[in-house]
Amino acid sequence: MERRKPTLSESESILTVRDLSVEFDVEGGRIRAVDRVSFDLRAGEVLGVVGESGCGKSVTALSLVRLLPSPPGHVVGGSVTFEGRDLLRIPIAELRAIRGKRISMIFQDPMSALSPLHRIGDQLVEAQQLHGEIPTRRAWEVGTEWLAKVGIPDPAERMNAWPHELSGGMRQRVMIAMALMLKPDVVIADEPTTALDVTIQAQIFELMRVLKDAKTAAMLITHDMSAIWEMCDRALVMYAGQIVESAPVRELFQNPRHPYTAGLLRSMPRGPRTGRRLETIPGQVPSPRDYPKGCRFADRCPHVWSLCREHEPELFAVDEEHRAACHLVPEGRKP
Amino acid sequence: MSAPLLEVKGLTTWYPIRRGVWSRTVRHVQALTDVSLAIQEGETLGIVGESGCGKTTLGRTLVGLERPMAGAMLLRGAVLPAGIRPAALQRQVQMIFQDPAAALNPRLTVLDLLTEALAYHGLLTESREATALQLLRDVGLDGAALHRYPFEFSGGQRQRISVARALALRPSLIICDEAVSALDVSVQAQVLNLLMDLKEKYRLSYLFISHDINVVRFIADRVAVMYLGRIVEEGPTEDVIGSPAHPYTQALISAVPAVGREASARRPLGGELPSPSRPPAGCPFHPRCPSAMEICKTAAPPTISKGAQKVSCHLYSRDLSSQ
Ligand SMILES: Nc1ncnc2c1ncn2[C@@H]1O[C@H](COP(=O)(O)OP(=O)(O)O)[C@@H](O)[C@H]1O
Ligand SMILES: Nc1ncnc2c1ncn2[C@@H]1O[C@H](COP(=O)(O)OP(=O)(O)O)[C@@H](O)[C@H]1O
Ligand SMILES: [Mg+2]
Ligand SMILES: [Mg+2]
Repeated sequence: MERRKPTLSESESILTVRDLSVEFDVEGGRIRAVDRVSFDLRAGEVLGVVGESGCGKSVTALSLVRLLPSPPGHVVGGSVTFEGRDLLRIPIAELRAIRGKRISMIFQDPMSALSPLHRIGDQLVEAQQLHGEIPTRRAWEVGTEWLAKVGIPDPAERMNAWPHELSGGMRQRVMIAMALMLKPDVVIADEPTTALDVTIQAQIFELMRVLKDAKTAAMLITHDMSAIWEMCDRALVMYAGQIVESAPVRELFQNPRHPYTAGLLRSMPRGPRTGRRLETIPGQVPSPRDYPKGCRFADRCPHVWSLCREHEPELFAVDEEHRAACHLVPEGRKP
Repeated sequence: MSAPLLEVKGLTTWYPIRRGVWSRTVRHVQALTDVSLAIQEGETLGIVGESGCGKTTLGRTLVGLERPMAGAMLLRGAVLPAGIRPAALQRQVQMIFQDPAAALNPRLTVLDLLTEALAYHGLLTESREATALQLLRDVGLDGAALHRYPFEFSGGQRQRISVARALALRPSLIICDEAVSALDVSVQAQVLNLLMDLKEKYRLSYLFISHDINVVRFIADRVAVMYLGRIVEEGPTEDVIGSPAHPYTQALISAVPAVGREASARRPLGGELPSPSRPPAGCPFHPRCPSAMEICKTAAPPTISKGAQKVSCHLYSRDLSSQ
C-alpha cells in the first residue's frame, strides 16, 4: 500500500490526451461523437469537463481507459499517454493492472461499480487484493477506515451490509471509498453527484478536496457550472463532441471567450432576481448526425458571421493557459 | 386582503406500511405532517428541501392525487369537501412533473394530449385543432407539432407540451414538481422564461417545487423549506435565502455551490435524512442540528414569526422568553 512517489513535477502532465476521436455504428453509417479531443491532466489538479448532455463527456471519459463498449463504439484515432505508455495500445492485461489501482473511475450510478451479490466489506477487500498482496484481516481494517473517511456512520457494521440495504448517497460514498482506497494517481469522476442532494454533494465535494491534498489528479465531469466553480482548478468546455474552450476556472468564469461558455454562464439562475428574464441560448445541441460545416455552434451563436459557416475555428490561444475555438479570438473580440 | 387562492391548514398525508398475511398496517411513512400554507393569486410559492422530505406528496395532495388523513383545504376562501376531488379543484389546479416522458401518454398525438381534458369536461368552444394550436403558440411551439407523438420531441420541447397541457383547462394554480430539474441549463432557462411569461399573461399562481435553490430563488416570490414532511421555515424569498433563520435552511443554502463564493465559506451538514417512518422525537432536525439543545430532543418546536419569516425552531423561542 505504499503510495507511489510522484516522479513528475506538479505542472507536468500525468495523463496526456491527443486527438482522441470516437465513432459509433448507427443505422446507416457512422457518427463521430468525440472529435480530435486533446488535453493534459496535470498531477495534483482537478480538471473540470463541462457541457450540456450529448456533448461527448462520458464517451471521452470511457474511451480514456477503454471502457467504451465496442461495438458500437470505436476509438478511431489519437493517443492517451500515461507514464510513457499509450493506454489505447498497450495489452489489455497491462491496462487492467493500471485501471482501478493507478487510474480509478467514479460513475453517476454506483450500482455499475458495486456487485449486488456481495457484501460491501467483501467487495472492498477484493478490490485491494486484486492489486496487491494484503492479508484479508488488514484489508478489512483498511476498508472500514475508508468507509469512516467517506462519512459513513457505523462503518464496522456497514462492512457487512448488502449494497441494496444502503441509500443512494451511501452507495455513492462506498464507490468513492473504493475508488480512492488504492490511492490512485488519477481519478475520473463522471457526474458523481448528479443524482444526489446538495447536502450529500457538499459532503462528497469535501471528500474530493481531501483527495486533492493527497496530490491525486482528478477529472470531474459535470453539466453543472457551479460544481466546476466549486471544485476545479481548470476546466474544459465541450460542445458537440469537441473542446471549445479551456482555461483556469476563475479566468473561464470572468473572461469566457467562447460564446457557448458565455451563454452557459448567463443562462444560470444565480443571485437575487434582478431582471425578469434569464438569458438563453436559442435552439439545442445538434445531433452528431447533422453537425454543420464550419463552427458547430454557429446556428445558436449571437455573433455568427460568414467566416463561421465556412471555416471550423481552431483552438486559438487567448493566452498561455486559455484557449477558445472561436473566430472572435484572433479579432480580439469578446462574446 | 382578499382570501388566498389556495389555503391549506394542518394537511397530513401518511402512507401506510403493511406487513404480514393480513396486510396489517404496522407503521406509516409520515410523508406530510401538519402543513399549513397559503398561495395568493398571481404568486409563486417555492418549496425546497432534500429528496424524501415530502415535496412531491404535498403537490400530489394539493392536486387531489393523494388523499390527506387530516387537514382542510380552502379555494378562494371556500372550504373544499374532504376526500373526493371536486370538479372545481380539478380544473383550477394542475400539475406538471419532472419527467414529461412518463407523464405524457406515448400513444396519443400532441393534438389528443392537449384536448382530451377539455373534451372530457365538455369545455371545447372551438375546434380541437384551433384550441390546440393556440395552446402550442402559448408555449412557443408551432402547428407542425400537432400530429406528432411525445417521443419525437427533445426534453425541453416535451416539457413545453406538458405546460401546454396543464394550461388547457385555464387553471389558476399550476404545481410544478421539479419541472426543469432534468433539463440542461440553456433549455432550463428557456422553460423558466416561458413559465414567467405565462404567469403574467394568464395571472397564474405556481407552487414551484425544486431541490435547486438557485432556480427557486429566480422564480419564487415566497419560499417554504421542508424537512421530514414539515415546513420548518417560510417567508419572502430574499429574506429566507438572504438571512435564513432555521439551522436547516442555513445548512441547505450553504451546501449549494455558489459561483463567486469560495468553497471555504461552506458549512456542510452531516448525516442524511432520517426515515420518515420513524421521525426523531422533539424537533425532527435535532440529530443533525449544529445548534441542538436539550429541549429539542423532547419538545416539538413552536412556530415563531421573525419579521416576515416564520420559523419552527426552539432557538427563537428562547430569544423571546429571555427578553
Ligand atoms: N451507444 C451509442 N450509440 C450511438 N451513439 C452514442 C452511444 N453512446 C453515446 N452516443 C452518442 O455520443 C454522443 C456523446 O454522448 P455522451 O458522451 O454520453 O454525452 P455526455 O456525457 O456529454 O452527455 C451523443 O450524441 C450520443 O448520442
Ligand atoms: N406511494 C408511496 N407509498 C409509500 N411511501 C411513499 C409513497 N410516495 C412517497 N413515499 C415516501 O414519502 C416520503 C416523501 O416522499 P416525496 O413526497 O416523494 O418526497 P420528495 O418529493 O421531497 O423527494 C419518502 O420517504 C418517500 O419514500
Ligand atoms: Mg454523460
Ligand atoms: Mg419529489
